[in-house]
Amino acid sequence: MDSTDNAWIQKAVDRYERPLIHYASRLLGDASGARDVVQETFLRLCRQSPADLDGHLAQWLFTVCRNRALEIRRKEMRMQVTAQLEPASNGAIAGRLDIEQQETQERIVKLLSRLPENQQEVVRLKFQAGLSYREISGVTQLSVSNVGYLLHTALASLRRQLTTEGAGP
Amino acid sequence: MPFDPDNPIWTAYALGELSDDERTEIEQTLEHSAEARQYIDELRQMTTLLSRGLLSEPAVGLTEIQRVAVFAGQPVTSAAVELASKHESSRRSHAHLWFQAGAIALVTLVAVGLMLPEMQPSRGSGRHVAVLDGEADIQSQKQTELKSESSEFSTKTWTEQAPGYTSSGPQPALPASTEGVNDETREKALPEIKNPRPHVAYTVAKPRYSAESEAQPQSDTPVEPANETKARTQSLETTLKKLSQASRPVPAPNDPLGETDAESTTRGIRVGEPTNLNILVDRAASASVADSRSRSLGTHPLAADEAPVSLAPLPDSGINDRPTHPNTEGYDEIVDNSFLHVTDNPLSTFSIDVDTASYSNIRRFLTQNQQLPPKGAVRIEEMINYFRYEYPQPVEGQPFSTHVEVAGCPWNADHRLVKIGLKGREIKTDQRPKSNLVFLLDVSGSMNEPNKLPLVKEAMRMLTGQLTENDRVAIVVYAGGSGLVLPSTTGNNKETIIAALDRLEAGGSTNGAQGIQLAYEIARQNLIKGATNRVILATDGDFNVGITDRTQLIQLIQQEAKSGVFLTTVGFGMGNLKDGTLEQLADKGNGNYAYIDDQREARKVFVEEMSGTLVTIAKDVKIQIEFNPQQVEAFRLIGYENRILAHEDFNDDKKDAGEIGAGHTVTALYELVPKGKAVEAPATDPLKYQQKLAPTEAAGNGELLTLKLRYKLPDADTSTLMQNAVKDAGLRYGQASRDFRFAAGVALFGMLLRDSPHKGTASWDAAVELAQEGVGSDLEGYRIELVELIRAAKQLAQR
Repeated sequence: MDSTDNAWIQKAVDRYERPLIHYASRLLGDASGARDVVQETFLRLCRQSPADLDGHLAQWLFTVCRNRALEIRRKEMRMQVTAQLEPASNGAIAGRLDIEQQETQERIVKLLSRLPENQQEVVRLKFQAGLSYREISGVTQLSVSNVGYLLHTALASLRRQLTTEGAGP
Repeated sequence: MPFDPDNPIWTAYALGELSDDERTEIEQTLEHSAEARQYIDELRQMTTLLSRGLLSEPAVGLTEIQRVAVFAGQPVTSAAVELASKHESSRRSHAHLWFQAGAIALVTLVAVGLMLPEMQPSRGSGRHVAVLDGEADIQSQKQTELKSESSEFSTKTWTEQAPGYTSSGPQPALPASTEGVNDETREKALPEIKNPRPHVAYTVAKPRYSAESEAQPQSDTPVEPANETKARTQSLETTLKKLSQASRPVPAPNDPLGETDAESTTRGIRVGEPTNLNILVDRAASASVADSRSRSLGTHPLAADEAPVSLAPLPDSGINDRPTHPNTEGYDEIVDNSFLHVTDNPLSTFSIDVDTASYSNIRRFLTQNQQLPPKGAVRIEEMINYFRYEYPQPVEGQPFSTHVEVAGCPWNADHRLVKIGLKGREIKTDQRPKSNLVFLLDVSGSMNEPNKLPLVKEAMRMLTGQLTENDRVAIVVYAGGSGLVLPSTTGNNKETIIAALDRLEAGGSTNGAQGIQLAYEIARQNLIKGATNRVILATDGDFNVGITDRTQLIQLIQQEAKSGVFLTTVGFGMGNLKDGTLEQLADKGNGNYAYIDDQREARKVFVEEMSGTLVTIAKDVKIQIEFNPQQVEAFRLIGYENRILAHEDFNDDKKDAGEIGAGHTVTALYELVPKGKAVEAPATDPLKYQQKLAPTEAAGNGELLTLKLRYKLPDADTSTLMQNAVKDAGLRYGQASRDFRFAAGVALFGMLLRDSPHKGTASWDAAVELAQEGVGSDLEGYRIELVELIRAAKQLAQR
């Protein structure tokens, strides 16, 4: 790899490392496995030409990451989301919110984990990875309107549960 | 389209995923349906919480080994790493390691332990400790993550995991608690570094910040890897030391850090003058430690990247340029005005500029980022105009007074320096005209950082605190969509306004709808004739305010300015700042541009100088100077590079120029080469067909120059002319006023930061001296802060 490659790879790593690991962790239920998948994703990225990926880098990364993670999952037949990551502890963001909001926020994430997997996935790609409907469509091979429908359904049921559930589980 | 909560299009609208046509349709429904508005509001509130919840989920990053491996092109699996982490995760490691896979060389070891709170007596600096303790802001959270992440590697486990590592290197001998050991020597002892990626772990979580600095060093990597590593290690180290010194001024006798502390006294920020160090440290502490490593030692942070530098404003640049791009601070290039021969160029014409953003942005670079600002960020006129000068109040009936001072030029004994000062009439708070304000606030996800949205809200709260029943405020936000958060409300309903501000949350992509049109529309609906009608745009640079083309946006803003609604732009945060765009928008919108780096600056702009920020005294203020060729050989306008006007535009009332607000002072400096002295500018050939300009009779009257000003009253269409002739009384520099000397110091500081060709042999110390002489009573402490900044810049420049 020559040095000019480095800059764009580095930027991609900086920008997408965490979202990708979040995503892969959910698919695999295993943080270290997720790291390996993400590393491999970036290694593959090194073999790409930046010009080819211009404008759809995020989509490419998440697609590669997803395919690789699903491949591993099939191979190892891991159950998904087995390892529950520890909740954010003294997170500084948390410290800035009032407690009520903080609780709601935690409850939403908890409720999210009870939704069907395909809904969880689009929600995470949208709100954790920051992808657009179109990008999510590219990654998941669902149609854009299907993505919109899944997100809508997921948000609607989160909302319903939030209001009916009262003080939380 | 009727409102139907079961139709996914409403969700798509709330998330900013609709095309323009669809959106317009939805918005029409929204206007009429309270139910729909409530639905969208609630949905957005929930998704904000959702994305915040998801973003605060703990995530491991790649391990350092893996990250380096990516760059070496070789996979390293997590298995070994996991093992290490199981051994060590309960321990807090005080070090983390940088690796180079392939050779698997241990590159360096940074004494993160310096930052650990238990190592620091909390003497007199609770705030710093709090920040470092991981309780105060987002950055510290990253830091906490860093700690846990780095704990996966202690020196001990690394030696276990890497049998190939020989004991000839210094590392294995180091215990886990190696705070303060000099890292440089260790680096020097490792010549085999081939592709060092001195990746400080805390940056992982901050793509924007890191990208900002990564770009430049990347290209250097193969050239001088060892130096780069060293420089960056040093930068981190110095920052840590600075912070630790702040809380521990006197090292304990048996403190293992004592030695290194002493060393950093000479290399790092001075510790000798605690008063002002506090300013620096406060600012540094309010920024993240992560930012500190983005220092790129005086080179342009974007140099190796796409470098969004444009000689002329280009359409599109700066607006909506790839919103996901992590490295997007943009600065337009500035070329210093050069000396012009008076015989060829007897006139100098420019527009005034009351912006101050460049100064506070420079301050942010020097203190929070610990790096010299990119040259394009240094606009000398904005630095000079950041400060107040004691110019006389205008006489009754005049909007502003003028004041000219001529004395020796401190950086060139042969030259003269002319200071031209304008002061806008001051308006007492209780006489301030009515105002109709619309806050247009960027609430996109990128604003979710302590120095962005929370600071915006704080600033707007401060401003709200100043308002009365004569003022009206509306709040429009843009992000995943745009919306009216608060309809125009009178200023005495402070609780309502503040509650609306408090409800704002950052979230979603910047994929805004018609944010700016909506803001202008609200402003127009509530237009008060003869009063202040103003949109105040606060953003970190994501400009997707509805119109994505810079040219179109400027047209809109100009048109609205003509209809009486002016625009003020306020920049926040970093990593994404579109400095040039914000400046240009404010310029075209008959407004001003401020950059807010902390609460204190927010207070200055929105409380102390609120009248100036809001109340325009005169608009399209142009200055034209005619130099007397019998007195002046050549001249150079210092700063104002992007405010130069064509000479014929001076008398053209259709040509836009700068505004002056209540109480604002505007200062411009000219460096003159007196008649008969050598000029460092090339002269043109004699003309073949006509003679050069010949002096008139008036040229013999001994006048140095004539100052002409044109301005319009805020609601006038025709300009008024003011004229003053100026003689040089021959004052030496030492006889000049304090303000004159201070302004000269600021200008010199700017010239040094810009590495101006005109700085001559002037040094940082000279700038310090000039500024210091001009400090005066300085009740607010702004001037003494400048002196500190010059010193900080000197330190950074010497690295």
